[in-house]
Amino acid sequence: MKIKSTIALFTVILGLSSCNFLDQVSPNDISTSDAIKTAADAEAALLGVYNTLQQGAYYGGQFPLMGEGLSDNATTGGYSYLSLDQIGNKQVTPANALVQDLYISMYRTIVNCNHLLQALPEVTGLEDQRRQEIDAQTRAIRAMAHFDILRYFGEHWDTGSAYGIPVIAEVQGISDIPVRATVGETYTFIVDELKTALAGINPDDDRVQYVNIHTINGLLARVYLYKKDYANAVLHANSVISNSPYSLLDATLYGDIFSTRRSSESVFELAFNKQNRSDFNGLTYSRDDALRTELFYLASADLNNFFQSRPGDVRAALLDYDVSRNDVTIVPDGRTQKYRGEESRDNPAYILRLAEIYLIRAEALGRTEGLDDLNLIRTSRGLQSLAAGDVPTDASFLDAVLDERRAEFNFEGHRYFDLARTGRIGSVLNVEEFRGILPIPSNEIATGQGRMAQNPGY
Amino acid sequence: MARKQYSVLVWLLLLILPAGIRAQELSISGTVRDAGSKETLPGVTVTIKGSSRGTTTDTDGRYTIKAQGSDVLVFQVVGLEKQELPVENRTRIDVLLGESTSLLSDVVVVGYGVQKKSQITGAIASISNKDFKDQPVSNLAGSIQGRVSGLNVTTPSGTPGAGLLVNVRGNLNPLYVVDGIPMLSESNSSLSTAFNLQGESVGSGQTLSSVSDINPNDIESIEILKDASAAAIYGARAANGVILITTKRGKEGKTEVNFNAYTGIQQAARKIKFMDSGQFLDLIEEARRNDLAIYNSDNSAFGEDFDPSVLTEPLDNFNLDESANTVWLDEVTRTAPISNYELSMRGGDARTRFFTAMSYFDQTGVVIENYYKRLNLRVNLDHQVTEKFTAGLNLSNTYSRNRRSFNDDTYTGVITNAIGASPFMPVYESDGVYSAFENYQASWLSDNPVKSAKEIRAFTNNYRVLATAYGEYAFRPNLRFRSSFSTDAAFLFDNQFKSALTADAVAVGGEAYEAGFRAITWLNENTLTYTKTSGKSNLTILGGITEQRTQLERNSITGQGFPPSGLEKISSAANIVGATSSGTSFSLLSFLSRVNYAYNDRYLFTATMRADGSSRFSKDNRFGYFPSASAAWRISGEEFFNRNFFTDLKMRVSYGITGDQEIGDFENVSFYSAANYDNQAGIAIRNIADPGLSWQSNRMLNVGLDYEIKGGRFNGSLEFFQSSKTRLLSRDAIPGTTGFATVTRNSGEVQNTGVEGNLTAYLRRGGDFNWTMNVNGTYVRNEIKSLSSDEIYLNAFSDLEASHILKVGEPIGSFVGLKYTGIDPQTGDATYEDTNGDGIVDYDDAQIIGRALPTFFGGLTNKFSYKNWDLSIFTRFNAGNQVYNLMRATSDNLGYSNEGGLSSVYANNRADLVNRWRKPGDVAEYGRASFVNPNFFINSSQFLENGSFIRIQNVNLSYTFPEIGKFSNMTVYLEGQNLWLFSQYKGFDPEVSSNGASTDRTAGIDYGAYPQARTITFGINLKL
Repeated sequence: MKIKSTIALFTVILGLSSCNFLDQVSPNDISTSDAIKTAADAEAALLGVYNTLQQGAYYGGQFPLMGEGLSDNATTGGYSYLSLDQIGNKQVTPANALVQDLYISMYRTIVNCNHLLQALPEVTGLEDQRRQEIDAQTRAIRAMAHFDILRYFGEHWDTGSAYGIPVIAEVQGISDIPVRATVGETYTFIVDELKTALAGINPDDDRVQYVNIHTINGLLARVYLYKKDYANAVLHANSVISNSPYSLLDATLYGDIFSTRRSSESVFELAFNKQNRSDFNGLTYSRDDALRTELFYLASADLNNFFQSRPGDVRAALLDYDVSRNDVTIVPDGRTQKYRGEESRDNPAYILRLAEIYLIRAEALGRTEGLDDLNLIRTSRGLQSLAAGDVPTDASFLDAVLDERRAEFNFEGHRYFDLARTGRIGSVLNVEEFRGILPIPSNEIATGQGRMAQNPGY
Repeated sequence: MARKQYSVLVWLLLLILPAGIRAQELSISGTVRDAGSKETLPGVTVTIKGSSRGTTTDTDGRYTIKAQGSDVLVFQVVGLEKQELPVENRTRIDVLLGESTSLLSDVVVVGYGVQKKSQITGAIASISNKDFKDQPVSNLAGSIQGRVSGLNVTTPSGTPGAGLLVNVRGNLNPLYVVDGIPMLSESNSSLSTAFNLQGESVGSGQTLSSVSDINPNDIESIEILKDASAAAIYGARAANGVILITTKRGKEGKTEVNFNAYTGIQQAARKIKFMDSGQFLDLIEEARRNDLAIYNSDNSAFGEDFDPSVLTEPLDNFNLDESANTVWLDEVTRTAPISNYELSMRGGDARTRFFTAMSYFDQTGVVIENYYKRLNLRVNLDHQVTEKFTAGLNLSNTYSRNRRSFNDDTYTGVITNAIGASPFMPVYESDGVYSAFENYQASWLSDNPVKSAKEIRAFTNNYRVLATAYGEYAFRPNLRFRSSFSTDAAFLFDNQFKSALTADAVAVGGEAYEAGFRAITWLNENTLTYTKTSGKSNLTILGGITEQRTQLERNSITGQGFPPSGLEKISSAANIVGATSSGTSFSLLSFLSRVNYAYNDRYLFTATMRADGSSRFSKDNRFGYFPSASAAWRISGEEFFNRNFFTDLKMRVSYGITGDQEIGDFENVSFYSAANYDNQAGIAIRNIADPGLSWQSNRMLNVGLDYEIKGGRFNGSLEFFQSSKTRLLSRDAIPGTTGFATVTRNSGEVQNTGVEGNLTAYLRRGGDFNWTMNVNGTYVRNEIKSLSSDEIYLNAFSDLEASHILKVGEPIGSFVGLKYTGIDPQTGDATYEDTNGDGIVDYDDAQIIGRALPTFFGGLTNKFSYKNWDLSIFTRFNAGNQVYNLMRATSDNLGYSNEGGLSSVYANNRADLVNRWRKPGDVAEYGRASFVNPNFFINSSQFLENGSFIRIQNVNLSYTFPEIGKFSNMTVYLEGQNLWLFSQYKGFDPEVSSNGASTDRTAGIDYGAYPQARTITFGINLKL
């Protein structure tokens, strides 16, 4: 009898432990499969895509600044940080931890785009117009991320090269092994996506903290320039210059680009705030008395010499080489002043600026037609115009454009790519030419099961 | 109503009142002799059962004691069989004590029950209070360190209250079960993180152990379930072994009041000796001279823009006359007091038994400002309600407060900065303000170490309640049902204030961080036990159902900009710059069963089965089944067995499967979580998941032998084990095109194979002088059998190069780096193996250079007693592993200063480096001093050191006064902890693991770990 009642008791307890007992729900998360169902979800996921651009390894700091460290614009600091030293010494190995983080962060953005694009057609309550806009913004960001990966990891200057990057246009499983596309295929994907985006974007929205029609035209101009398709580069640069409300600032106001937010020169500027900070200040300035070891990227003495030869250039003021303001361990190098604001640390990422559009057009148009654009930038920055005789050859004109880009965009992440796409890695940096791109991270090779090819030379 | 109040009163009285009033006493005397030799036995304790009154026999084996006619006398001496004799109104009782087989009749706690040691078929080690009491350690795992074979407990740093690395047969992080409650044992403080100056987490710092919430002296016994047969009853959480902790309970008889106190001092056991100002100046000037000579003969290594004047111009602030000659390690360490006070009561009558204790532990850290204080309260109560029904309560309450050492064990921490600080820099300027580290040589520093210690005030406050209420009903004497409800509630609060004086917060005007953590576990366990004895057969069947749910919540807030007046709480902040709040939960539903069958006490069988369902896995693969079976044969029970030498011999074999679910919650689902942009709320993908995620399983074979020689004079066991952990729950590298570097999934296999043994020998006993020796040793070989992708590089700190590698055929925790081939006597250059033969020595030449986990470890205890004196000496050893002393890239930099720009030097060097290469032909341990280019390679075997050691862990000398005044017993003792270390290691201590106690994959790194203390205490123990 009693045994029976015990068994009955057990049964009751068993009954209490209904199946629900083991169903726990996370209060902070929503599973990927349920996340994007309604219009509001899609809007939230779009904001999330922008959030991924803000990762510390991407436009939150490392993407632009690492390129500086790899070029002649910057040297590196840090405490015996081998990965960082490798960047400063322009001798990166596949095991480099910073490079691995960079690689993954850009694909993180792409993966977020892919999920949103996959869910978007089924989202309920979304007007077609808005659906198209979200699609366009997402595609443009996905294309930009691919292009950014290509610039660091693929032979972007040679459309005939086999060393493109894995193009990821679908939601991937954890076991999917990526394969590298050729450079030509990668460009085709990027251009097609940007063109699709251009067709779908709302032409009336010109907020610069979001991808707008001018961002897409600007990105197309940039991609065509790298691809050496100059006619198309000019076409899209024209579109930004003639149709956008953006304008160049007066020479005396150049600093406003960095000390204010969303200046009239910005075409695409990522917005940070105190609760959502970027790493730019910490990596380049940190505090008044910072030692070299505390900082990641310092303005090189070479960049100082470069500006010495450009009297009147107002952009020199955003570099501080003064011994009285920099710790003794930093000299003869200096610090950029583009990312000040030690307390708020909400420095934006300047992804696309109007000056770049002009310089793209100048470079694409070439010596005779492009000189006006070059001079427009020069005169806006306190310099004299160049006469045609000052740039007698195509080569000297290209030198002048690249110098202008260096003066304009130092610490904004263009220099390394400019050197690579114009074949100057060896001559300027004095390292092997293959170092114009980074090695594919060793973990990609290890997990690639033999299907992931390493870049030549590494 | 009145009745109810009355019964409450009775309960209270039962708790408070000591045992009853004594009747008329007799004086009893007699002689105690050895049953074999018939010699008289001195030093035998004679006590009255159920009381603590007693005496010992004199040199002629005679005793006299006062007792009642109805009392029972207990005669006891080490190594001989205990005897209990009723007085029965006699006044003379002579006794013969025979050889003991006592160990075999000892009862051992197993999961969900107890068992006689002789009937055990699995590998269980048991250690009782008397073996670890009174040690000045805060963590119970520290008290069993080195005492048990197969168990390797490593102290990763000297931080008070720190977590320990507990490894059972090669498997890290066992399950702790305290009086039946599977205890949350993780480090829950969010201050256990290594931050860089950007405030980003770069890795794990020193963890705190929540196992420290249990006061070691409240513990009656600790059982370590080592093999699958013993552990499988805990199923899905038993893969890494189980540590069962049983606290003291009440005993029938006179109430025993026990007061115990010790107090003492601690000091950093070993300090690293650094160069003084003169030696440092010599080094730097020599480095510059060496470089200049090289530059003048061949400047190719110096780069195009190199300006040789940096080699000749005087360095700022590098003037011997103005040198403070500061010994930084002396400035940040101190002689620190430690003390512990404890009061406990234990007693009861036939129906109600209680144990209650309170204790206060106060340990000051050997690093300045740092301390750990803990208050414990415990009540354990058992009451027999009716003949068939027993009920009881366990309640344990802990409060602890820990003043943390900033960035403990990692860089930018107090010790790490002190290791590189320049002797030219004073602690304070003449006007009393902290000297500005920026103005002095040594750019390694991130701040003045004393300033960091004093001006970064971080505390972890912890409240913990473990409570169980149970009822047990015996339907029949052999059929018992037990049900219990338990809760484990942990509340932890972190706060950290960085004053505006510190480099970390100067730019923001001070920064405060406050964080809270709450974890509540509810557990219900129901078991039914049936025993049947018929003839020579003995059968026990156990069945049970348990349910557990755990909910965790965390929140944090960061504020910046504080007024200068000592207002340090968040409400004084000018800006709130960050706030988080998150929660997680998991539940577990389990069915368990065990069958023990013994025939003729000679053939023993055990089978267990547990089914665990966990919310951490998706519906289809939620339940895991964990069976085990074992058998033992007591050969000594057979007729044919000659018991002349082995008086008892038992062979055991077991095989079974245990599991592991110790991953985070919700790792089986890929999630979106909040991700804002442009001041608007958005969502972004947080993780990538494998929906097929399921249990990790550990299949273990164990073959054991228990032996007793000469009736227990020598006894011990020998074990062989082989375990295969398959479907490892691991953070597995996946292609970065997924947007993530790793995914948690089941992959790979790791095998642990080993032998372990222990021997207890009563080398001398029965006279005034007794000597007992216990030795244990374990050899474990760990090997990775398969991985989803081979050769995975792991970084101990995310901003350092990969320090470890996972590679098939190698053990977990293998170090990777360049192979150092010594100093070239001609040039003084450090040389390395160029494995890829490309003529360039760089990280591409990295290879496996060592291992973090020891292969052989054990302990040796010698206990001596002479009359009332007792002396125990406990030694522990460890061999076969290396330590990656990454601090030496700073402390052995040989003058290399390019990290900080060449206008300043980088860091001071160890005094040892005076033995460096000076001129061609020198055969030196350390290379040529070099200012511009490093003459070392941080990730190389140059900084890999032998981790083997022998440590005199504990020496205790005590004197016991048998009866003194009102006290039935008083013991005074002098104890030394970590008295001596035999090791070649160049850092503080080879027993180290800088990035916390949570992982073995990146273990064995020394990156400025907190120095371990040597402790001397004086204690007193009073019994009433």
